[in-house]
Amino acid sequence: MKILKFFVIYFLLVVFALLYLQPVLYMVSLSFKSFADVIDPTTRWIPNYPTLGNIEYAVGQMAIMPMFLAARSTWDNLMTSTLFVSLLTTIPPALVQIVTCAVAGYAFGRCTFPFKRTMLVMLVLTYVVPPQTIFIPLAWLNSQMGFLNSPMAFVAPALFGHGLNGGLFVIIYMQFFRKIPKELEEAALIDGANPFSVFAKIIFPLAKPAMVVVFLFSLVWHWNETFLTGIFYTRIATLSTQITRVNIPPQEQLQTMLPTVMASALLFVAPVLVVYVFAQRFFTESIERTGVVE
Amino acid sequence: MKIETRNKLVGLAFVGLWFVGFLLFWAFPLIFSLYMSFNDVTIQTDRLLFEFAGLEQYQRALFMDAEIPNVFLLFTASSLIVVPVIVVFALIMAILLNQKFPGRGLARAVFFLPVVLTSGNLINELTNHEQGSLNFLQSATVTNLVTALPDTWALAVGNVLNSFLMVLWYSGVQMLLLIAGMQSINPSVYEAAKIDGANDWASLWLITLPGIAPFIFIAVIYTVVDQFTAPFNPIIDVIIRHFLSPQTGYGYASAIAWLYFGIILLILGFVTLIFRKPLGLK
Repeated sequence: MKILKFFVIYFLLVVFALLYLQPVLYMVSLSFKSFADVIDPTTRWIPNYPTLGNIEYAVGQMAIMPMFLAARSTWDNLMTSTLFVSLLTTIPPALVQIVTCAVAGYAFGRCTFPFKRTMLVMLVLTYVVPPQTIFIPLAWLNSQMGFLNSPMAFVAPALFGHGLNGGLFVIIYMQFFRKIPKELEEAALIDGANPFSVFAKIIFPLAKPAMVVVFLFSLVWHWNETFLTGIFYTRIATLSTQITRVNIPPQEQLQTMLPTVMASALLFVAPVLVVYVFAQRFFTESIERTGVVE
Repeated sequence: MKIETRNKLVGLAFVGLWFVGFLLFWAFPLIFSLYMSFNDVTIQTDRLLFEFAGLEQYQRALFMDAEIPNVFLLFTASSLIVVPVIVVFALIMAILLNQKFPGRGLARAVFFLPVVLTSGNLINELTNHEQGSLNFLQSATVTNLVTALPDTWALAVGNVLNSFLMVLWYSGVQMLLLIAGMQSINPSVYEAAKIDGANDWASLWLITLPGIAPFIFIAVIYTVVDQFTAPFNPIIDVIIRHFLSPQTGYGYASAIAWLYFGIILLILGFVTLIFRKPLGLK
């Protein structure tokens, strides 16, 4: 009976895994195929004449390297690199969200304040409103603050516990803090500590599993963002908007276009994949420990 | 100072920053875009000019624009199919990945991969090159079946079938949610059921599924929001096009965006209605 159950589980998992991974493997395989491999129908997965040409071409087309001009400041020169812009759009907001969303999550999970129910509805609302409904005023706001073409467009809302999927992160923290025993805070408060240092020194450090989840999700979602970056960034660009640019190949390479597109996709996902390989244990385990949403 | 007042002040201090952010980044933009949707907006070099237009923009979008009702209907119909497919698939995967078997860690690592790879442009590229569709779905029987349906639904079903694999790629987070839900059920309940003679199949239906009903609800909500903000969504294209167009402009784009938000709210309300009973809501 048990063997039968294992058999069914493995069978289903393997079938689904193959379906899942097929596009990814296809992307990797095609990225290294040379022209000879592309036109050869017998070469399916493993190229006979592997090449790095596609990758090199994609690196150039995606403007990964900064373009140095003496007339510009070092910062402006660096901002011509899509990789640099992507990193700036990803890491600072994620780091800020770890802290600010925790503060808001603590308020919703553990504190009492007037109109708490109404504010909870607002919290859910921030998650449900599509960015497409509010992007015009947001763009105007950013232009007034001088945040267009600057990662500040993403850091500023994060500073207030909002930002990309900020509502979701607040909810994750809220659920986590609700589970911590009340006695912990009470003991410290009786000993005369003020509520803010109790949060900073006792409660917040306990939330490591939630922090890991929030940080990783935030990194990934900022990295993948295309809609808001497309609106806020007019002179600079992130990697995520560059994949499609490779679609316009030079004439003589028209036939080998597909491998270069796939190479650009590979370059784009590679950093995320590396992070995932190292962090997936936290990713999968800490979800269980935080219970994410209840 | 009374302890209650003190506690409330502390609470306000913690939530204050978030609330200011809410006013700045949500309330203000929402009201502003609602205001724009009732106006004709002209862009001057340094400011915007508003001319009150009442419901004109909405009327135009719903009754005069040939494109918008169609795009809305089609997308709503496909998401009504896609959302249950994603959630049911995530549920099946979550049940499988929650069993105890050797190699579970590796299996989870593979199936959570979509969580990090779900990027609109990437998925577009992969689907454009037909890696996202299943070949058997293009066979004659399925096509016949699809053409037997009314137009909008046929198109919607066709869209879903064509991107079946990509549907699976949008179920990563839901799997995580559902597994987390299953972990929250006390194992002693299962033991008690086993002693009373229940088999695994019965426990699944009588303990696991009712126990994770709230998680299924959240997974459905997440899927609806995710689908409606996914970059391949044709409605977003329409909004952006009108936003950039000098003839229609911000007012019209805002009206479409609000209609779009209205549809999302309607669907979420509908979902809440369905889940009212299992969740024990009034």
